[in-house]
Amino acid sequence: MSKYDVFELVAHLRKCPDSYLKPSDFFAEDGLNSLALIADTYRIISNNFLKKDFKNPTNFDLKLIDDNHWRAIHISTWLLCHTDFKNNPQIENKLQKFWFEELLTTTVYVKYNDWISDDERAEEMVRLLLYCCEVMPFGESHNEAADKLASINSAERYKVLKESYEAHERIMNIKREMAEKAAREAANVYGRE
Amino acid sequence: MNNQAKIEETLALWKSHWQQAKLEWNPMLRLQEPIWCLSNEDAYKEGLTGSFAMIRLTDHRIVINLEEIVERNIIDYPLEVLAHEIGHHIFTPANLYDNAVLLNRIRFGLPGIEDRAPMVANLYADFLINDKLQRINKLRMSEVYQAINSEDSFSEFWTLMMRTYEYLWRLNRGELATKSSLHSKKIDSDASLLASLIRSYSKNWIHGGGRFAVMVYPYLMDDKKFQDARKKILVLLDAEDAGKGAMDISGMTKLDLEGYDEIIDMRKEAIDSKEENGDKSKKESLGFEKNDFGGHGPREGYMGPGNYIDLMQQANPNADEQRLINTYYKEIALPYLIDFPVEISENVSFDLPEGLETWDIGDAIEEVDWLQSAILSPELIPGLTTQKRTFGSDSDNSISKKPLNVYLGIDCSGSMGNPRHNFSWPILAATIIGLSALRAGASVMGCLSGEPGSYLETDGFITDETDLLTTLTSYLGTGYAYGIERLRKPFETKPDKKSHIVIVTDNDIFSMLAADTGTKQSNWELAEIALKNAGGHGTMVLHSPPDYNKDLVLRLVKMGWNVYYVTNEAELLKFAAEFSQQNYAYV
Amino acid sequence: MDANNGPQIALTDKERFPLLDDLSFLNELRQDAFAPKFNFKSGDRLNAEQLLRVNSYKNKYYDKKVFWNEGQVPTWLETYFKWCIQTVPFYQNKGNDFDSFLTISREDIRKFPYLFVSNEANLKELLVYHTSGSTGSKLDVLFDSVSQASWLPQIESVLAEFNISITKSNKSAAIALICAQEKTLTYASLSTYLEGAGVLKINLNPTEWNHPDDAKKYLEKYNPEILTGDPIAFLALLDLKPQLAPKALVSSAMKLTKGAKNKLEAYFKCPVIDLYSMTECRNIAYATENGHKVIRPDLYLEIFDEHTDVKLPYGERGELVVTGGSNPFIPLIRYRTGDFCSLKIEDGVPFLVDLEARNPIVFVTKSDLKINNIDISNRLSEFPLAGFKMHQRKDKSIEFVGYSNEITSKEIVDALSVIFKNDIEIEAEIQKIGQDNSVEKTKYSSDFI
Repeated sequence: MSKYDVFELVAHLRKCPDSYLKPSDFFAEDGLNSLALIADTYRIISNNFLKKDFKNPTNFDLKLIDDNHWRAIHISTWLLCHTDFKNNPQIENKLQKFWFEELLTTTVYVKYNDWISDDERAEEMVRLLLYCCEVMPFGESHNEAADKLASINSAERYKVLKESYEAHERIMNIKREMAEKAAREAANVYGRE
Repeated sequence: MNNQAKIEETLALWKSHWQQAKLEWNPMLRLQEPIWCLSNEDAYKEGLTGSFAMIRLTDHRIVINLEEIVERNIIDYPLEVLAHEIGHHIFTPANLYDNAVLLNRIRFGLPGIEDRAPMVANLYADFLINDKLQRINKLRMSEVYQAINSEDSFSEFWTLMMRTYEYLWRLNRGELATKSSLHSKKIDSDASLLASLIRSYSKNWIHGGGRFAVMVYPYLMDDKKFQDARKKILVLLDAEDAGKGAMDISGMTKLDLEGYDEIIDMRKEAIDSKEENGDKSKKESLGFEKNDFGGHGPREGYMGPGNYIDLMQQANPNADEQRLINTYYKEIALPYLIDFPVEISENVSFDLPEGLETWDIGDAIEEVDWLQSAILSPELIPGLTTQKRTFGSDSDNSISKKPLNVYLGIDCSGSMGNPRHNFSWPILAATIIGLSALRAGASVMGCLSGEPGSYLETDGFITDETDLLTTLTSYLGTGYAYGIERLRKPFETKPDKKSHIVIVTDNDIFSMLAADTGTKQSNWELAEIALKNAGGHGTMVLHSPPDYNKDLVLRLVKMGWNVYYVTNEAELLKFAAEFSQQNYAYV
Repeated sequence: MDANNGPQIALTDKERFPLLDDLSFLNELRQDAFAPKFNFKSGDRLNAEQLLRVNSYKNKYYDKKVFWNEGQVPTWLETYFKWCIQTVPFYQNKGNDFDSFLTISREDIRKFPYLFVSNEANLKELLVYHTSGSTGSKLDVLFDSVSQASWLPQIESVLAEFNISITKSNKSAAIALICAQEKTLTYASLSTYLEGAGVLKINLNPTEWNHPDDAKKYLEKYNPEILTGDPIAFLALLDLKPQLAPKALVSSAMKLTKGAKNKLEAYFKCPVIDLYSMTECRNIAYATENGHKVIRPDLYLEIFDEHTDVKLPYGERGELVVTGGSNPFIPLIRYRTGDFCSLKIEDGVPFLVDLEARNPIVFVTKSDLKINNIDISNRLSEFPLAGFKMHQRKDKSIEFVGYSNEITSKEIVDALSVIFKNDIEIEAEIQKIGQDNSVEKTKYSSDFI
């Protein structure tokens, strides 16, 4: 099996067990212990099961993370359980950026369960992770990989959709107004044209 | 004759793949082998122009133009092309009825540019079929597009289509959408939404048509853009005219409210789902003018006649407008017709099953006899293995009373709308009375009159439904009222058989009654004589407030006319239903 | 029968005239014993803020004595151009250099009217006219009440050159738009800008009046200060020999021939001004001995080659191209007018030399009743015609060629017969539209001219 095959990883991600979808213990008493989950992931990746000190945001910052973001993190830890990432210490120091920066921007636009239920969002998480880890997806060049990630970037897509929707809405509004007003009284005409 | 040899060779190759192509869908599939055309002329004769393949829902055939296939250099994709065409037959649109429903929903999503619906429906169906064949059957659909696409075939719209396939099949940018100068972030975003639409609606595709149409709307909004786009992809349009030559498709006059609710802009859905604060559950169907599509007729439950004709002519480009308009008023009239008079017969069983015949696509779906169909073949192929029962009516039934004939005089002056453009209550009323009378075994004479000016009437009292409907649904729009003079022909002397006279008009009839006839006989006198000679009842249905022209109304009543007031046109329905029940339903 | 094809009356007088409290003069105009059977109501719709904008429009431009000089462009052009590029969808992504900006045509506006609406325009202020235009092809013209009312200061600036001013009073009729057509909207109205003065739109067609003499009596009673209309309407008015003392006649829409002008001036004893205007940007210039003098400092005019996007130098003849205007719903950049002239500048004011506007064509019935081509355009605009040519032969018979896939020649003959009072021979041919047509522009011609 090829390492870092996007389809393979997407298939793995979509099999994410329900237990990863629970809220964080930051929000619910019976929620997942998010920090423990992160710690375990670090241990698996670094293949160092005695490791204790991890680069995490400060307690203060952790409290600012919202539920949707926490659950996305939980889901991503399942993704990171894939054998491709096991015993892979060189990506260890890339994960903080992935969890607390890149995922943060994206989770604004993605509901946590979409990471699993929607094919394209699953692919986005896989690609985002590979990008953060500076790993090339199997069989792809640097440019191809970059274009594919950009093509399914939720934040970008949201921005573009909003623009094009608004422009289109404006046109439809004008058309509607035109149809309505054409049937109505206009204003005085003073001369011939 | 190198080319000819190549075509022959291709024929053999493609024929050898036919069985396999069917297997891609269903090993049990019974479908006739395609009509293989060896030349463009042959293809033209089969009605295939502009493309290398097409389907016909009417006779369940596939037509393949091998000369075009050689020319387009897609010889090596017999399985892909054949399986695709089969997909149109058994997956989408599959049958004439679903095709019409899909077209209608797509029309909802293309307000003002409904003429583009057949092309949009074709491309939507292509997505569904190709996605299945590429992803599940692992056929090389993408390569077919690569072979057919040329630099020239790209417009903004086609770039969107090809980018959508790239998203669906995880291809690299530009593998299908080869003209990179047309790429944009806008197209990417729309393509990504379309791809998810195709995936989500592959099982119940009829519900995705509205969303699909709304997504492509901005790309087809301008005439020129549309014409360009269409011209460039003509070669791929294989199901645009799938229903050409079909028989009547029944059940389409009713407003498709479910379809209307599915006209949703996915862009807005995508934006809203992120803007949590927006009303969540409020699925906003677009605020397009609902009136353009329906809200006509009884309980505002029907589409307008103009829209109906447009739709049905898209479903079947050969459909005859007159036939469609007849069907339209007949379908709406049906619930109000008297029951067939066989009920009064002493003979108990009247619905005697007489036999079976093939249920065809144009027939109402309720008529399918599923059991018999299943007995005939485990595989249901509409129009081939589907059966319906035929019933015999008891021809012996003796009606105790002879129904009177009816004369229907309809004011068709300038104040009347054209029943082809706008739903017409007077025409519905006349249809109900006329068809009820025919059911009861009476003859009907119909007359449209807008005078002074013109009139149109049936050839005396007739029993032919089509002739009657064709007369009633015509339009004059001349003069100011029904011309009393029209009563002369049927009733100047006593007709063989007694007849009701029903005249639907408004207050202007009094001007007509008083008008100078240029002869000794006034219109008042003629109205009186006609009524007497008819020997039945005369009813003047007046669209007027009840206290208008009291003296004149009294004069009519004294002659023996019933005067029935309606203050709005919708009340004509009540009148027609009551009249039909009273006079033609012998319960 | 087709009365409901026109616009519907849908407002109250308060909405028509938000700023006018005293509508007694309006009611007098409407209810006069000699008044025509007005078939419509109209107002100028100006609210306080909009009236301010009309006045500021006047102040901003009409003190200007120098529009621009040869080799220069107007000072406002750069800002205006930038604003268009930023806020008008049609102009976006089409380059940002005015000098190399491509021309646009009536077709562009006809096809994409909504793309010309500035993103900053307030859709609540949108008003629409659906016109047949004197050239026959349909056009939805979008505008607001401000750009509409700006007609008045534009005309005032012309009248000022004749030392004429319009009286601002709610007791007199300021303007009467005279029509002589089969059918048109007619109404009595007021002008807020003119402080409540009366504005009339009337049709001389006798069927529009209670008595044949009423048109004359009504006009004489209110004696409007300014009469506007097209030459055909003015000649029809002349036939009535009304005792009127207008301050000026303003003729537009069709070329005013010298003969007609002299006749009108001799009778009405006042200047007859031949105005060049078009629906898309209203008044542009008026005829003088030196050519048409431009009256709009807010328009920048250029001359282009008819067929290519090449700008021609001053003095060279070509198609007139307009940039500017005050209408936020159709801001124009290099709009081809379809009219031809050469351009010269005198003391900073441009003149259009040898302007060839759309020619007036009068048709006649067999018994020599005059028929206005606008009536024909109006009526035919109801048909789905891509275009048509209509010609009257020496024997008065009409030759008609139309382009359509939908209508029959009988429909055309029927429609024209009504306009020609059933007193005409018509040969009509409908040609089908194919994939690649060379349909000619709508054209009227006559052997009598």
